[in-house]
Amino acid sequence: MTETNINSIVIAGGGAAGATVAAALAVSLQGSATKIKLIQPPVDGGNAPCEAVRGGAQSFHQMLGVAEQELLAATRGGYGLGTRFQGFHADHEEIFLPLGSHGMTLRLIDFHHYAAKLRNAGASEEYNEYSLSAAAAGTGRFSPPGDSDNPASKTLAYDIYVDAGHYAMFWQNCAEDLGVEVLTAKMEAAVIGADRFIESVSLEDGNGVDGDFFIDCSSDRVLAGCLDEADAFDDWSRWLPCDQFVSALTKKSRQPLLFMDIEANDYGWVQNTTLSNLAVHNLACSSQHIDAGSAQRLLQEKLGDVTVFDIQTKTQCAGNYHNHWVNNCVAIGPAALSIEPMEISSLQLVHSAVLRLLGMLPDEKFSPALAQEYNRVTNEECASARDYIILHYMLAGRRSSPFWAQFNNVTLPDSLQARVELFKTHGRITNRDYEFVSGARWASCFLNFGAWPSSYDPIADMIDEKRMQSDVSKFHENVQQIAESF
Amino acid sequence: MPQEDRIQRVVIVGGGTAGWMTAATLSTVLRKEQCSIELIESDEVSIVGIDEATIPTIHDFNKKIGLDEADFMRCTDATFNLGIEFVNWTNMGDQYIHPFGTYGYDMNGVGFHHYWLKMRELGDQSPYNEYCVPYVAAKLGRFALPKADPRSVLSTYSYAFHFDASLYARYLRVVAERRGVVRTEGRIVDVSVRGEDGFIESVQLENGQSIAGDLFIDCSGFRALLIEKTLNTGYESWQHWLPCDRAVAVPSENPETLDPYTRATAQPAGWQWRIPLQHRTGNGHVYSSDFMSDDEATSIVLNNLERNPVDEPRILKFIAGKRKKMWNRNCIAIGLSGGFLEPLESTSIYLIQAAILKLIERFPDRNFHAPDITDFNEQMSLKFDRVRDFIILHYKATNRSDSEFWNYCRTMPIPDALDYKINSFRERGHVVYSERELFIETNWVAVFLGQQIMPGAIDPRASCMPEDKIADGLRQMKTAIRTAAESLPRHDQFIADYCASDAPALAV
Repeated sequence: MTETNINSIVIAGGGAAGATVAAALAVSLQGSATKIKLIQPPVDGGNAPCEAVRGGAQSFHQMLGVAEQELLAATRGGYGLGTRFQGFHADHEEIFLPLGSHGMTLRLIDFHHYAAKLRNAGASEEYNEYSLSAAAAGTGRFSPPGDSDNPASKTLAYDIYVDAGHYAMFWQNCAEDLGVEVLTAKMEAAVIGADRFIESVSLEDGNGVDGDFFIDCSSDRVLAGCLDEADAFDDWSRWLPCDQFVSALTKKSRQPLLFMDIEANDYGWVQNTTLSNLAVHNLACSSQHIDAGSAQRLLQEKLGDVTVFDIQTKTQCAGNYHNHWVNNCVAIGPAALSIEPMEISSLQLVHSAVLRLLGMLPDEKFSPALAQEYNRVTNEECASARDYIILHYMLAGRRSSPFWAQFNNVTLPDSLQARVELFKTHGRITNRDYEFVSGARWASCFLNFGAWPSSYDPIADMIDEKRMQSDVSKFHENVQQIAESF
Repeated sequence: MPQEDRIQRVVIVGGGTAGWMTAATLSTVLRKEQCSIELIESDEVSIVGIDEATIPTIHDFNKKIGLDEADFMRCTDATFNLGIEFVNWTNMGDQYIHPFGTYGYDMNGVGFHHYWLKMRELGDQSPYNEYCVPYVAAKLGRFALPKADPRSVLSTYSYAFHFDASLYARYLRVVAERRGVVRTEGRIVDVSVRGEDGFIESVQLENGQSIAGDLFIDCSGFRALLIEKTLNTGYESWQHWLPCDRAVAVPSENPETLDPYTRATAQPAGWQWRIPLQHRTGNGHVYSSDFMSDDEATSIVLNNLERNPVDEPRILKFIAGKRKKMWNRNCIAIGLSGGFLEPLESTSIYLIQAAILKLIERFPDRNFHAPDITDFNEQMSLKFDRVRDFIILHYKATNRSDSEFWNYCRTMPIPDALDYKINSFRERGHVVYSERELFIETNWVAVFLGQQIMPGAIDPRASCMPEDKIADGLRQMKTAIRTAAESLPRHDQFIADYCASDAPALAV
C-alpha cells in the first residue's frame, strides 16, 4: 500500500452545487496536501440565478461545522416543514405533505394502517393531525426543538429554504477561507488525454487549469459533456414532461410561511416561496403545451402587480446521465441529472452525492471499483427520487387540460408500479435500498393525496380497540399540545 | 375489514425453535378471539436443536415478545456471547474474532480501519482486534452488560447468547400457551389441498384428527412437509459454494471456565464449533461428505474435545440453499424448511426471526394478495443471499492448500455480488453496503481483515491527520479499551450472579 493521493481537485462550478462541493471537500481534506480549485463562471448581468431551494438535511450542514442559524441569516432563508399543494385535485382542495412521519407504531404495525382503519370507521381526524410537522406548519410557529422522548416529537422533521445565490456565496466564502482557490472564468471544454482522463479545463481567455480529479457541477456539462463515455442519458420525459422553467424574483407580498406552496395550472404548476426579504416563483410546464413566451406571460399574470426584479427562462429535459463518474471526472448536480423541484430539490441530491463521494474519494490510481459503486448507488437513489416525484402526478386528480390528461396514459417505471400495487390493497410499503424519502413519507404522499388503500394490515383489527383508540387520542393531543408550545 | 376476509385459523406445523418462536410472536400480535393459533408437534420426531449460538439481533426478538433476560437464560442453560472466534481459517495458526461491537472510533468522519491500515503500513504491529472491547473482554474471559452512556467505551459493544435451543423452544412454548396457542400432539400422515388453487385446507393426524386452517406455517424442519412434500415448491442448492453437507455433534463436559464467545476452528474438510453452555459444552464438526467420511469426521471431533464427551455423537445431513419461494399459496416456510445455512456466523435464529417479522409486516387476509407475497419472497430471498455471501467469504478468502477441500474452496467461483464486495474492499477499503442487509460495515471489515484481505489503498482523508496524532489516538484507544475490559467481572462470576441455572448436565 503506497500512498498516491491526488494533488489537485478542480471543480467546474456555476451555482450552488459547485460551491457546496468545494466547501465539503475543503472541510474533509483540511490538513492534506491536496489543492482544490473552484472555477465559477461569471454571472450575466451580475445577478445570481433566482431560485429558492430546499437546503436539505441538518446533518450535512453539521458535518461542515456550520450552525443552521448562521446559514439562514446568510441566505435569507427560513425553516420549512412541508409543501402545500393547491389545484392538484379537481375539487380544489388543499393537500399538505409534511416532512417527517405520522403517528406511532402499535403492535409492530405502522400507524397508517390504524389511520385507514379509523377512517373506515368514520373518524373525522385528518391524517395530518398525527404529524407534528403539519401541526406546527398550521400554527405558523416553529423553532427547532431539542431531543424529546415524547413519541409525538419523533414525527417532526424540517429542512430549510434558502436563496440559491446567497447559499452559493456562503459556501464559496467558506471554501475560500479553507484555502480553496476560486477563479472566475468562462470555461470552454475539457482537455482529454490519450488515456481518456481529463488533463485540464480550457478557459475562454486561452488559459487552462490543470488537475488530477475533476468535478463537473456546471449547468452545461462543460467537462462531462466532453467525455463520450459519460453521454448515456436516461430520458425521463415520458413520466416527467415538464421541460420549461420560468423563475421570477419579486418583492415579497406576505410573511414567510413554514412551507412551500405549489399551485397547479393548466400547463403545469408554480411554486412560490417567500424568503426573508423577497419572494421566488418558479413555473414548471411542458413545451409541448405552451411556448416560452406564453409561459413567461402566464407567470407574470399570476404575479399581478407585485414588483418583479428579475425573470429568467430555461429548458431542460428530465433525465439522468447515469455514468455520473467516468475516469477522473464526476458530474454532480445539474451536470448529472435534471429533475424538477417537486418536494425534492436538486440541492438535496447534491448533498447526498457529496457525502457519498467523500466516502469514496479516489487516489491517483482511480480504481474503477469506486466509480462503479458510486454510480450504482447514485442511480438507485436518483431513480427513487424520480419515482417519488412521478407519484404526485399520478395521484393528482386534475385531468382538465392536455398537460394533465396525458398522465392517464403513462406506464409507470416498474419500481413505482410495484410500489403502487403493494400500497393500493393493504397499504404495504416496501423496503428498498438507497431510498431518497422514507417509507413514512411514501405513505403520507399516498394518503394525503387521497389514495387510501382498499384495506389495511389485518393485524390492525386484532388489537384491543379501546386501548388503541385511547393511545391514538393521547397521541393526537400530544401533537397539538407540542405544536401550541412552539 | 369484512370478517369473512380475515385469517381466522393459523396452523403451525412443527414445534422446534422455529415453530415455537413463530407461535410466541404471533400470539403477541394476533388476538386469540379473532384468530386461533394451533401448533402441531409430534413427540416422536426428534428436534434438530442443539447448542445454539445467537447474534445480538435476538434482543429485538426477545423484547418484542416480552422475555425477561435473566429468567430466560436461567431456563435455557445460557451463557453470554461476545463474538465468534475463527481459528485456522486463512492459514494454520491464524486467529481472529468477529466481535459484536465496533472497533476504535471514527475520526473526522473516516472509518477507523483506514487509520489502522495506515499505522500498520508505518510499522505498527497492533492487531486490529486489540481496538475492540468485546475481543479483549472475550479473550480475558470477562463479561458485563454494556453501558448505555455513549461516552463510555463500555457502550461500544453488544452481546448475544449461547443456549440450548430445545430448552429455548420449551421456554417459548410456555409463553405461547399462556397467550392462548393450542398445542396438539400428533404425527401428520396426510395433507389435503383445495382442487381449484392448490391451497392447503387441512392436515390429518395419525389418530384420525383433521386440523383445518387458513394459513399454514411450515416449521417441520428439513422434512419441509408442506412447502415441499405437499406444494413441490423447489429448492435452490448452494452446495457448489458451500460444500459442507453434514455435521456430527457431540456435547462434552465443561472446562474450568466458560469463555464468553463461540469458536469455529477450521478442519481439513470443514470446521468445528465449540459453544459453551452453563452445564456442558456443545461441539460439532461441519464437513463435506465429498471430501471426508463420517467416521473420520467423527474421530476428528472426538479427538479435539477439550473434555470428555457426555453423549454419543449424532450425525445430521443437510444441503445449503433456500426454498425457491418461502411463501407459496397459503403456506410459509420458516426455519430449516425455508432454507439452510451452516451455523458459521450463528445466523439460524436470526433468519427465523426475520421471516416471522416479515410475516407480521405482510400478514395476509384470505385473498392472499399476490404482490404482498412476491414482496415477502423477494425480501426474504435477499436476506438469505446476503448471509450466504458472508459465510462463503470465510471459505473463499483462504491461503490453505493442505487439503482437497481447501483447494476447492480457495479456487471456486463465487456469487457476483460477493466478488464485487471483495473487490471494492481490496481496492480501497470501501465496504459496499445495503440497508437491507444484516451484516453492516463493521462486520464485513472484521471478517475481511480477519481473513487477511488487505486493501491496496485507504481513504485519502485519513492522510489529513498528522501521523503522530493518529498514533497517539490509537494508543489511547487501545489503552482505554484494555483498561475497560479488565474492569469487567469474570464471565462465570457474572452468570453466577445474574442467571445461574440449576439444570444438571444433559437435562434434555
